[in-house]
Amino acid sequence: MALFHPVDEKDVTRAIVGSFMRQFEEYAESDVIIVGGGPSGLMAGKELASKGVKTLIVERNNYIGGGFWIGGYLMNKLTVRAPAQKVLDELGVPYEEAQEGLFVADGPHACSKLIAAACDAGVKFANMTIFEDVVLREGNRVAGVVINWTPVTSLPREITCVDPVAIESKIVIDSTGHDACVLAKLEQRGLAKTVGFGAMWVERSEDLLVEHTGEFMPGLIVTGMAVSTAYGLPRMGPTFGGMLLSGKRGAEVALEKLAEMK
Amino acid sequence: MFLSEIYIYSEPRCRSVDYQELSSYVNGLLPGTRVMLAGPILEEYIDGFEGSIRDGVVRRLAVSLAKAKVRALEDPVPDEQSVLEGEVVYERRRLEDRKNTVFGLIYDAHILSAIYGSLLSSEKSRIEQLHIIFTNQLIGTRDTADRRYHARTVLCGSPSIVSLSGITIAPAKDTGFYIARRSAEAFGFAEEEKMEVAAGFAGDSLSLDDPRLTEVAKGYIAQALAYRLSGDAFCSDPDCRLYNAHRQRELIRAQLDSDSEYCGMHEELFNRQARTNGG
Repeated sequence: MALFHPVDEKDVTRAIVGSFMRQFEEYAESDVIIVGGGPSGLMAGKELASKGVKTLIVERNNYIGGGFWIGGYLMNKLTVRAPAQKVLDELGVPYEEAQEGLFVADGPHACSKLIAAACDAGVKFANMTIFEDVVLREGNRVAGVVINWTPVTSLPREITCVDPVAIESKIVIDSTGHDACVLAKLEQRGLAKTVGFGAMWVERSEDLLVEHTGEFMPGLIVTGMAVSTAYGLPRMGPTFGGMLLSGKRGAEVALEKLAEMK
Repeated sequence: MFLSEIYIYSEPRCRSVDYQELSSYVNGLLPGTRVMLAGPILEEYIDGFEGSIRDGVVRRLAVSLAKAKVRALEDPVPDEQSVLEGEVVYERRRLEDRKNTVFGLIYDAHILSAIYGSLLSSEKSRIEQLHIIFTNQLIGTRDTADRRYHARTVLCGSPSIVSLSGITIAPAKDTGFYIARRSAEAFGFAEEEKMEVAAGFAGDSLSLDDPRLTEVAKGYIAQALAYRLSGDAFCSDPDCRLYNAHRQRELIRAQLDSDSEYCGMHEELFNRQARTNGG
């Protein structure tokens, strides 16, 4: 007797296509689109979706989580400074106190829990999807993103004449790390100006990063290491506590802005 | 030069400094000169306004502070630096939240001094007065030799600024600290791990919660006073409190370990001023 229920190949295909298309159609218009599925983007997504905000995370890689899987030197241990261990408590991630105020957790455990928490909250993902451009409305308010399949960027140009598509949202969050892809595109168009990496005391950068998290221009919020690109904070320094709390702060700002729009 | 009043403005975000003790010290150093303790200059200024006027004042001050931020160590801060709204929001938040201890940005010390000076009323802008403002923010001045900004402990002028974070950062720690830190960085260690590795090589150095900070701050007030009285804040004697320490080791020697506080010449400078004021 067969263990699994008999299903034809076409049924499997229809199930995949149908489910994907329903979600894609529904999320062609979201409340918030987060570009980048690293720790700050996931944290922002989890916080927003748990408040009933329709949230889509666009991630260029197949895997979600960005650099949150491993710590330094390919070692899969993550450190956070107090008070960011409270986020680990919320997520149910076990950790050890390495010294007063410094906590160490397993990267795979922390990252998978954060992804699961975002999924449980109701975040939807468009992975293997690359950000190409922004959708702009009156007053240069950011109102969505233009996306394409990531593999399109890896193929020879003569066989990849694949036009992108646009999806809309009330707010876009740039959580793309140092690249700050959304900001870079706006700067390329002459619509925004970032400071770049600047002159600060590196050891204090984590606090500064959280403090600078917020609305960069109408409709666009910046979180995580993209904040350092926007305001000239140091490249090196912030550990994952800063990413998690920056994501939380970004979500708080997004909720305020969404409330103002009502 | 006649100096009758000295105002010391506290920084509430750093609790390890005893301003009453600093005031008493200056009274002892320059008897006959009135020493007044004041609260934080920025916050006291904005508290003088209410409602929408206050909002406007905070906004203008936040923009001014954002314009004073050093963005690249190699480039001088332009006269009219354009600012991002997020930078203004950050400055506003810091102005409004007295418990916000975040620091780490470097501000052009001369521009910051001009901002502070613009907040002083005409009654507090008289030639016989000296204002010494404590801050937990980092200040920097541009060195004409290498054309780069360097973090500073003190800016002597009118008003003078003493940077408490600068005292802990601007004078370098022992060389081993930086070698260890760079090595840890090469291994991709997180910031906390890097600091943990390097801490053992730092030698004796000051931190913002260091109880010795009050004693050290006396020396930086003295440098501001010496500049006002003689036009020169510093002394070449490494055992004089006016020594311009570039290393934590030198700072601790001049401010904490020296047998005498001042060299003969600078002791006489303060004595002369005390006699002038009838002290």
